Amino acid sequence: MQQPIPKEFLLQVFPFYFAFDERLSFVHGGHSFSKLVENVSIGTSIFDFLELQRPQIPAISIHNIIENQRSIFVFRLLSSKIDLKGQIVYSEVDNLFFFLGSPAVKEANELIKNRLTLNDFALHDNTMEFLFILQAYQNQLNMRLADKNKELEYKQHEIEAQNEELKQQREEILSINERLEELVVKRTEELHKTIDNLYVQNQNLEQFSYIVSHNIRSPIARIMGLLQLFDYQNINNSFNIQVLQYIDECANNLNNIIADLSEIISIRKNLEKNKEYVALQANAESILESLKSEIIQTNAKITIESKGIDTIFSIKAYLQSILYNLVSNALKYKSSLRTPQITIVFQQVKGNLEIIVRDNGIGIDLENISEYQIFGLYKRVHNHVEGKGLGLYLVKTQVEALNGKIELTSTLGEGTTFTVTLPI
Amino acid sequence: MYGLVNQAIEDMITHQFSVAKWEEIKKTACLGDMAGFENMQSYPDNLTYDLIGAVSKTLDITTEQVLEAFGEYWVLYTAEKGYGDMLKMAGDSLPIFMNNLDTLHSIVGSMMPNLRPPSFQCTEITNHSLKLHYHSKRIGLTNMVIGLIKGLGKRFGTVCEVSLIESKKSEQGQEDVFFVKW
Ligand code: HEM
Repeated sequence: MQQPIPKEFLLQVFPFYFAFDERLSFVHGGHSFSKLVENVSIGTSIFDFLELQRPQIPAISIHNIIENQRSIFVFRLLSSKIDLKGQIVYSEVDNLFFFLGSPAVKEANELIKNRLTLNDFALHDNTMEFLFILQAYQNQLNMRLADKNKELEYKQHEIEAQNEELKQQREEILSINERLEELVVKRTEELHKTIDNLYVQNQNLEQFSYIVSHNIRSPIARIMGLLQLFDYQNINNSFNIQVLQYIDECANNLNNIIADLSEIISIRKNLEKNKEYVALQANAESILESLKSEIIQTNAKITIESKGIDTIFSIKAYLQSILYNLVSNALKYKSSLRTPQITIVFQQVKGNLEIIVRDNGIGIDLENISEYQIFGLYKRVHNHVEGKGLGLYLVKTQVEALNGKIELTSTLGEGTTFTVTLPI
Repeated sequence: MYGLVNQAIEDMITHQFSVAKWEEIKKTACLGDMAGFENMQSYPDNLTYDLIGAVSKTLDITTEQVLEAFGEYWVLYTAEKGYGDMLKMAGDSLPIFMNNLDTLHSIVGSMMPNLRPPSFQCTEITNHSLKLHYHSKRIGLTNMVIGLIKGLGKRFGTVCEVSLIESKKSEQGQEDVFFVKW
């Protein structure tokens, strides 16, 4: 014989239970059930506070319930939106249906929201375990995901760093390439310059051998000619004295030529000379002193003007030689029609020293004679005047050794102006 | 014990002191080259005891003090490390929570198969006090329980006093009774 189901027992073992009669009216329920359903009183239809989720039966009726006693029933509680999962048992003695189950939730939060605690669950109920295993699993997954993300981020950083490195290497290669190209261009330019230099040097050499042969040969030829005139039979012939005087002159001339040549060679060899402070005015005056006899002979008027500069840090011997040659050149090529007037000017122009030597001599026909010929190791421009053709070449060599330049302007029959520009 | 416990010790030291201190402690515990703990992996109990000993030595405080501080920290730590819901479910007041401590560890046990959790029972419950019986297979963690209860008191904003009224060590482990008053 069946016994009635004791309510006390139900309350302890199924705190979420509820009982209803064959009219589907609520009769009584557990403490935890009451926490989830508000204002339910005996006699209310169970569908006032829940709806059936499972099993899927067309319409709920006692008949249907009895037929589905082997099914899992899921009710959704309308007020709390919580699903209760369990089974329905019919008790003939009580003539009541008992729903025995507990919440089917996927997150602890749903329970917390409804203020359910461990105490609201039967001790045998595994809902909590299930819930927390689920959560632990979730935590684990999240952690792994976070780890993976971190790993990915790290990889990403690594790739970015590698990219950066590659980019830098590429840039380096590009810049090396560029530098190489620049270097090639520079080297090519240098080569061109060297070729040009070599060309000039070659011309210089040609000129040099030309001047050597001409300038040295002519006094030697003269000496040989004079020696033929020498009267060996009559040593005491007074004519011989004249011959010897001429030979002496030629030898002196040769000596001067050779001194100049060796000076030119030493400049060309770039022999290191010491620089010093040179007082321009005093230097010019001492040069005029050494040309005193020529000045007196030609009755030349020479003036020195200093404009804004009186000393220069330079090689004194070169400055002296430059000025000496320019002035003696001016004296040499004087016009026989007028008293020679020579002006020496020192002036500062844009960080340079300009030395100007202006004369009113015979002038040079610049239309027919190139500067190259004037400063070159060529034969003299003026054949009728005595000279050795080395002076201006020496001047140019020394000016260039001082990183300067020399230019001239001239009008035939009126005079010539040489301008030497030297960096200060 | 599970790595979670050792992680919590590490977390307590690095947060309240510094990473350098933690490294020092690890070295003292001869764990210098241990990179980190896996929270869901079970480690030998000795490792945890060594760590507690090293903390005591390095910070120059007694192991009892370390255990109590760690007990308090554990309540905060578990709340942050994914067990917040479980703590909430275990009750919203100190007495209810203490009543659920045993169930709580059973539930934890379902996730950590190698867990050897302690047992707790509450007796002589009144409105302002109870006796908490603590049983463990491990010996010497009494002060951790005191810290834990104090930590719970803080969690619920309940001022409480904890006194050890009985303590027994045996082959079976530790059996303590605490009197908790609030
Ligand atoms: C959700 C919160 C908690 C979790 C996840 C948790 C988890 C754990 C874990 C994993 C252990 C290590 C045991 C082993 O590995 O064998 C442990 C030990 C312990 N737990 Fe908890 N626990 C929690 C809360 C508490 C609270 C609030 C207390 C308060 C009394 C407590 C008391 C203890 C004690 C005393 C031990 C030391 C082990 C022993 O005595 O044998 N736990 N717990």
